Amino acid sequence: MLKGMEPRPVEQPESEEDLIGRAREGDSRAFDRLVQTHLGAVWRVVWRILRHREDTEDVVQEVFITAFKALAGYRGECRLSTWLHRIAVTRSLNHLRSRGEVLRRASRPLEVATEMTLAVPDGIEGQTPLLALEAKELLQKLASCLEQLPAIWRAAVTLRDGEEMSYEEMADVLGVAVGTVRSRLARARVALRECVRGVSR
Amino acid sequence: MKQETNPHPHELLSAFSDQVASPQEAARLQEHLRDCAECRQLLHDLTALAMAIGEEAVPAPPPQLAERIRQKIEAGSSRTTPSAASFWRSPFPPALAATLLMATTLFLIWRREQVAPDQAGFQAPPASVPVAKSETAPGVAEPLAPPSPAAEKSDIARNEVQDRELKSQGSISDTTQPSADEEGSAKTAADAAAPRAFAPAPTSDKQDASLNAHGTAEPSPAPGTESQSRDYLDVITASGLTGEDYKKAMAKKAPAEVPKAKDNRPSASALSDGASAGALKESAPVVSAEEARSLAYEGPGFSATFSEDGLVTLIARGYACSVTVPPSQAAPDGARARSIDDLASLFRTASSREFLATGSTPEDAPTAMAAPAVPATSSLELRNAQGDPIHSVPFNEPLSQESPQVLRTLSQGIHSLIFQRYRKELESRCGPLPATLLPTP
Repeated sequence: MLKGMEPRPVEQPESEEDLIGRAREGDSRAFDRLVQTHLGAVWRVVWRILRHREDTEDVVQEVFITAFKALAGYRGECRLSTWLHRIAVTRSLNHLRSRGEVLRRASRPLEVATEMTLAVPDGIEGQTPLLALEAKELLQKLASCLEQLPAIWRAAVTLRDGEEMSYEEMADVLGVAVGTVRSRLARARVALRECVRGVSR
Repeated sequence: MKQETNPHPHELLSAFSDQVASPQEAARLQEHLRDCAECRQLLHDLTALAMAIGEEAVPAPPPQLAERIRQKIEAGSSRTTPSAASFWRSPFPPALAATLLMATTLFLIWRREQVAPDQAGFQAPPASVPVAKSETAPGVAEPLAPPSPAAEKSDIARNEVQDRELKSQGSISDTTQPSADEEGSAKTAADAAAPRAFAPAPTSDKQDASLNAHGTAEPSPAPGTESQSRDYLDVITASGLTGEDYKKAMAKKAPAEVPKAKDNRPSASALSDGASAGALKESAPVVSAEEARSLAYEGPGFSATFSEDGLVTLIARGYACSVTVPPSQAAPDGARARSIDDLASLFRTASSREFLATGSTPEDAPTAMAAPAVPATSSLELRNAQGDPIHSVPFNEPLSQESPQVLRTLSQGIHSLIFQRYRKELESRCGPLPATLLPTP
């Protein structure tokens, strides 16, 4: 039977639990399998918060290295993906708050504005004043507004609208109450909408 | 939920667009949407924006990233005492490290004098947690990728300002959005003391510290004990807000969320009396807002709420619309719940004995809608004027020939109301229905 070069994500012979157990004992190959499984999701979350490719690369590496070292402290009290997202969000926010980064970002051109390729489903154009904007224009504005959004809010919309996480899981990842998730999301979204509308006026 | 200071219920709208508002909240919102064009527009925009965010193209990770992570990890884990080894091999200049070590030690000695003795160890609140960071404990922490010297310095500074961490996250948002009532129930006394400026974030330091403490620094770990994971979680969340606290907070909050019960509508049991269907038939066409029941449908493609007094709300991915539709005609003689072509016939069917005998009774599952025990693709819920469930039925779509006839009638009816009967009203207010939603011809 042909054995693919690509590692098969979980399920097959080993469950995620097995892999975690082995990785906890220092088996880096087992951990590598976990990385393969979760890299995509962690990458997306970090990129959506940082919105910068190189920084995302650095932070994603940090996330998994931190996770590997900390795996002994992970007791399965939440899903591994939740736990990894928690580290990812924390690391990303921390990265943005370092002083050097604040200055650097202030003087950096928007990375995304040139290359927003967003699949706009049929029927979205012309529905409302907001979305009466040309889809491409809207998406550029959205990118610009997301960039300006306070990082903690950006993290919230990332987890909900980007990753379609439940409020409960978000609360777990962000380390806050569900009520906070709810209010934070609302504020983020209303601010974002005002920003997009403001930019469009 | 708490009263919002904003006249427009933003938080509720946002929750509603995520379909996580409670039935009572949804009913209240419907009430508000009826009179508030601004909120109808906002609901629509929020849903559309959420979808746009979800669709945003994210660049793919570089193909060699997993490999790089693997190499770094293998390089680190091949040592018997990896932390110490790589720490001293790191580009981090040993002399500077020594200086920092000394500075931190002095700081800690000073701090220990300021803090009660029982707060100085790992079990202490987050303020003392960063102690475990690499500069004081090179043997146990951060074996790989040590932070830059600048970051290390600022870590020390952080110790002084960050007694609690949750709100320093909030402080970022505070800088741009100064309104005071964010974060709802999660506010703690410590929040007040949080730094307002664009403060360095202690979050991950705490996380690392707690992780390290559990991973390597604990002298005699008791793996898997509950207290250990609890400590871990407490420090991770670093707000001290445990699941228990949260439950308590929610329990306190809960009564306020339930509207005062002044139910003058027929109860489920009254409705299930044989006479009710006929009685409703006569009274259906004109119903005042105080008396209007609603029927909420949630399906795989969309969710829709029909209020007996004419408000129809449709929420789908990228589309949210709330319209008032023309009043239904009086039911023609002999009309029975055969087909559904307006709100009156919809409610006739939804209050029929057949429907009320389907699925669980409210007694069995008073909050079935909030957390359905069995994952089902769809649900139908009849609610009284206060938004309290009268009867709810989870079910799976597509329906088969074996499914109860009344569910098939209702499901078909709802689709035909949305896509035919009231489509014009919806589209003239909110633009064309998403093509993905439309039934294939």
